[in-house]
Amino acid sequence: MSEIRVVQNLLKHNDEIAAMNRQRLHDAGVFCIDLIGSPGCGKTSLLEATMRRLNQRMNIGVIAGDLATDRDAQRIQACGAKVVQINTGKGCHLDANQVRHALDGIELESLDLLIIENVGNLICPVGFDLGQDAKVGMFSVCEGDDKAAKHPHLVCAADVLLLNKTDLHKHVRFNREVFIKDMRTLNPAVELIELSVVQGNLDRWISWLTSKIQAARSNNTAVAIMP
Amino acid sequence: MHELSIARSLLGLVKENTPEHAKVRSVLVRVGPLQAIEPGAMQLAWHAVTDDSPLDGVELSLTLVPWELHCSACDRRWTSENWSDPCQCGSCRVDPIGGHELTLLSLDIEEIEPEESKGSQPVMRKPA
Repeated sequence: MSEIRVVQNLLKHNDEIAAMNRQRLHDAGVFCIDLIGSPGCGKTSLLEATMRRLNQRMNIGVIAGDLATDRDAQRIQACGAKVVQINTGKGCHLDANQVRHALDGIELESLDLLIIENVGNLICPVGFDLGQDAKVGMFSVCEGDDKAAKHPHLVCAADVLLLNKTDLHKHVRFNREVFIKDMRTLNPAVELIELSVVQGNLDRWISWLTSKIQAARSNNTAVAIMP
Repeated sequence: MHELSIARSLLGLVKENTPEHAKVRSVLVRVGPLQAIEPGAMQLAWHAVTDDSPLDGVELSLTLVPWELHCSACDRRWTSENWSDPCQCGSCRVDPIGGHELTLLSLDIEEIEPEESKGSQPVMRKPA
């Protein structure tokens, strides 16, 4: 018996394809987010509301990942986005290769923002790089204040965290201090945006998003004019 | 059950790194706590993806790496199964470090005799 040293990342191929996706998106000047949250936390509602706020100002594309049905895609399309649906069947997350194929169905040059709505799941999607610029983790107060502690993977990986359904805070047991303390321990730098999609108080979310989109555009222009 | 996708990727990497005349006996994988790998699910997934293949029966040896923690009050570093451990100095300002590792470290292989050389006699060349 002999040993062969390998030392390779198991998700090497996924990460290579993700890097290609990222390059395609950067070349087209598109800012891309991967939206991860549990079923029912409000991901699709957030996309609908985001679309209503931004679709007069910019072109938005959505890749909607779901185990089955195109209901999310229909809802988002009705708000004016260009949508590609990925049905994962039994798959509990999207991977970079599925996103690569979905990108083929989108005219990237016409877009400013691409939102990938991952399969509703707080665990499996986290480790798979899709080529996004930012991972957005979404929780809601109805899920309980222990969710940051119970899902350290998402909290540590997220570039920004959303806490939705703040309008229901008074009706549910949710200790905001506990949630924030766990979140800060795991990821001291992450930005938390508290919002209520149904009440439409999305200003902080919209301004976070638009500042990132502008930065992506100016980076793209800077690269384009370099000799 | 992202373990199934990871097991498929592992299968691909094992095949890529196995020399032509070798039989793999076991594979050694190191997993950080941020990968949310459940060892039982990973073993089941590995069994599922190798079933009825040349790698059927290859042992998957998983090393689960604990959390590496850092206390920002006293600068101590230690490892723990629990990310929310307070430091022994009493501080709760403890940050997890790293933990993303998901690495195929090595393969244990056995050299096997190439098929064509089995049972064949050395060929004596006639001197020119």
